[in-house]
Amino acid sequence: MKIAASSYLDYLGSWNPQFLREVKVKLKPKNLIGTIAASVVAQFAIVIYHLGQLPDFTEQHLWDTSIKERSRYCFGLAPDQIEFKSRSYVRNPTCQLDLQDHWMINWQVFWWDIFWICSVIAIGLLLTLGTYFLINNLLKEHKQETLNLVRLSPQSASSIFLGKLLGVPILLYLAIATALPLHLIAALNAGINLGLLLGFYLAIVASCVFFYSLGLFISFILPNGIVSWLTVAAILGFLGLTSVLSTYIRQPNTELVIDWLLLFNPNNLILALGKTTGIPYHYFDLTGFNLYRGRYNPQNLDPFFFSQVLFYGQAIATKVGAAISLVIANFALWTYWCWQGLTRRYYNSQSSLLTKQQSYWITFSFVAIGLGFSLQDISQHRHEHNFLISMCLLQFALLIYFIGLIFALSPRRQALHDWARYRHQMGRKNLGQELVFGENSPAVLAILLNVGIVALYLLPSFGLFINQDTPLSLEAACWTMATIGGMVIFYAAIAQLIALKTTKNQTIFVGITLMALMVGFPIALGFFNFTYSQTQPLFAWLFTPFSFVIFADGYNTQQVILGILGQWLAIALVSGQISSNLQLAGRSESYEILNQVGSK
Amino acid sequence: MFDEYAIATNSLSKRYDRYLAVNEVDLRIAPGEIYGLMGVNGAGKTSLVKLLAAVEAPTKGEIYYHGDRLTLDANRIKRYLGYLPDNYPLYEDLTVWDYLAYFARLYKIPQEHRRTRIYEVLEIVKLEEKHNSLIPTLSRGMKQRLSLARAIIHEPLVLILDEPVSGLDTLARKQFRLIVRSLKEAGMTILIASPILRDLTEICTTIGVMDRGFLVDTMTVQELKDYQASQQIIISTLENTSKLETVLSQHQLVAGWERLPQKNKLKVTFLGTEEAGVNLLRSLIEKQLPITEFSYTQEDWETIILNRRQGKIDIRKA
Repeated sequence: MKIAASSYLDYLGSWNPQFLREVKVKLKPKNLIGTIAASVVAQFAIVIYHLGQLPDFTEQHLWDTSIKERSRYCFGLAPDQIEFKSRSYVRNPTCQLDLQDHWMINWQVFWWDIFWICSVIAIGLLLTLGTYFLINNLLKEHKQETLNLVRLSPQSASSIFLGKLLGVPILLYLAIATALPLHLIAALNAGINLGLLLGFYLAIVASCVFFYSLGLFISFILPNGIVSWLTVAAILGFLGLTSVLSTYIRQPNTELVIDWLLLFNPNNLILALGKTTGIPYHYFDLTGFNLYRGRYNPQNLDPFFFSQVLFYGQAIATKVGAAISLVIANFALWTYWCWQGLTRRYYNSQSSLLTKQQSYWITFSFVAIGLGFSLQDISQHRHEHNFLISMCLLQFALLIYFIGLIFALSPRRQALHDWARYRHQMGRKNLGQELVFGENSPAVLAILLNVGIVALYLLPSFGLFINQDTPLSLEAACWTMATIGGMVIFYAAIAQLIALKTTKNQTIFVGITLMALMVGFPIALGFFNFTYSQTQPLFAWLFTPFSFVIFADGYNTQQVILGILGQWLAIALVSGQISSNLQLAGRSESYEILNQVGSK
Repeated sequence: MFDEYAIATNSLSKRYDRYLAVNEVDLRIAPGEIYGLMGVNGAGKTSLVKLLAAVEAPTKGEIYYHGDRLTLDANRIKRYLGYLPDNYPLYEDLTVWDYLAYFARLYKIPQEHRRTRIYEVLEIVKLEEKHNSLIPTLSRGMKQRLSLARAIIHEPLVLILDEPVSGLDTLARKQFRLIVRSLKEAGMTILIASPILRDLTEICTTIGVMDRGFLVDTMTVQELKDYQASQQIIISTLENTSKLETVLSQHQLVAGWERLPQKNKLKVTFLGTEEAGVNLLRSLIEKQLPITEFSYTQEDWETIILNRRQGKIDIRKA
């Protein structure tokens, strides 16, 4: 037995040494027993709690007809009677006895509830605790400098990260695996198809890989202890917010890029699975809020999130299988890009997170997917107000994306200095090619090209979908693109200039400056009552990332052109500063010495 | 072009901000050599070692191992490169055996050889009896040897050691030297960086001297030893040394001299025997030089290298 286990471990270690290392450290008998016990106790508590929600089986209640037992798990009113009865009555119907004087229990809902709570807890634990463990593990490796030794081995970055992803949260996986039988029983008794359930598990695995990769990625960018806690808080906030958004806030027939964000929360698939069980909608509304709004009236359209999501007008996830595939595909795409950055940073801690070529592909993916979710309804009868809000949100999403891209593409000070100093000696391409594709060259031109990709994709789409009823003209859309694009390039230039001038905490300095320019400046404008109406000076608003709001109403073309010229003047000034700083950095030591001697 | 060298660099440079830590270094280390990289703290030794070990990317220049160019993701070269950093990082939650087994697997040592290889390296570093011990229970010297075992687990052709004996007691240093010699006999090319020349001269075949990022000097240890074996004579006169220097410059066995801070005193490098030294003294007296001191002395390694760097001596003449 022991020999078999040993040879199995050997096999495992040969397949992935990193995984075996993590397993050996974590799977100690004490940890194993503790984890399994905690999982079993938690499962026991969940089942006991739900059993406690069943009507009282004691005879005293059965004979005393004056006591009305009410429970979520009793058969009460049919769904079509919902709107005529009180909400409380619907959510906790009065229990009825069968001919043999037993309570009539809706076991399907009972098991659904257990399935639901187990799923939510498991997803929450996997995504938060798992990410926390991974970030902490990598931070420890950074601190001990052991990662350098691993990096020097001939193992690929993918193999090391895969080992970490599988091995570091192994106790968490064990706890979840222990709860799997209960989860499976609950799901099957709730009427969930086994194939769909396995697809759901696959989606959870995909979400874990994505969030864990993101966690590792963050720990490479900001190797600081507080990062693990901040990331956990951010993930928890994201899961909570997107769950509430999809279930309670999102309106049917909205066409918002936010729907894309909701795909990153695997919790949203739980209700999609619920739909296949045939359980009435109101059972999924735990707070009763939607019931109150009449959202689950069966005469209304399908209230489930995935049924409503369209992509360029196409329903892509009406079937649950398709919804699961969509979630997995979305996670797979962004996990792929995350690993590209991870691999680069693993081999060279000084490199930028992405190459310029990669950035062009990512921007294309981002804008193509973003627009797909922003133009969900492409029919002639769509709600034009929604269209405007949708476009504004897309611009906002793109703005956030570009801030990330500026961070990911801007080389560090040292890399820039080296590029300026040794570019000519290293037989590199011409300057234009260097700025568009080169490693460590300033990122401003690459950001400009990325803005160009967005414009090239968005403007023809606007041309196709903007009509007379749309509260946004094509001209206004072009101005919006030009002004926001100009500001993005200006921010990229500022970030690059700061990167050239600061030696320590470069990321923090860039972050603070960009926040001040992007958020502080508009707040200041608002404070001084520079509102964006035609009668007030709109000029200043063209220097904020929120210039698109101006174009919703009327605008003065001359002022806009002046504004754009002003933006490019500012870009030219900052670029000039970057250029002179790079020239200074590029001078050889002998030139400087000779220069000093000459001046004396 | 660099096939004949175990390690070769071509204009290797590394900048940290405006500071050039490694400056146009052209290193050439022949196979089977133990090369000592010497220099004061901040001379650029560790920076150069990190570049050679692929821990950091050079700002400029290339590194070749047996003619193959090294890049940060060059997995093929990493297979025959061993590296021991100065702080020898360890996993404190593993046993000695598990630690070595982990790295053996990382270096893809086949399962059938792994066990034997771990026993071999444990024997080389004299840690056989500690194979089941948890790493935190080991002494500093043992940890250092375990790190060395880790660095050689995959039988590298080139081993890079950064200040391997710093902080170790005399016994541990001696043990370490014996291990390194045995590795050389096994055919490894070894580069050792240290600020202390004595640590290097006892095991190295060649010494490279780094100063302010430059590789300023390279010499064989034999050359150093030969020079040290030559005689150093302190000569003082009552008057200034110009007349004495004229006489010395005409003497065939005088390799060079250095003016000492004390007035009218020279330290002369003399290539002759003691008898020839007596003849030198006699000739000085015959030329009516007022000699007040004529005594033999021996320089330490660091002084020899310093003098050589300042052009005061040519040890090859010795």
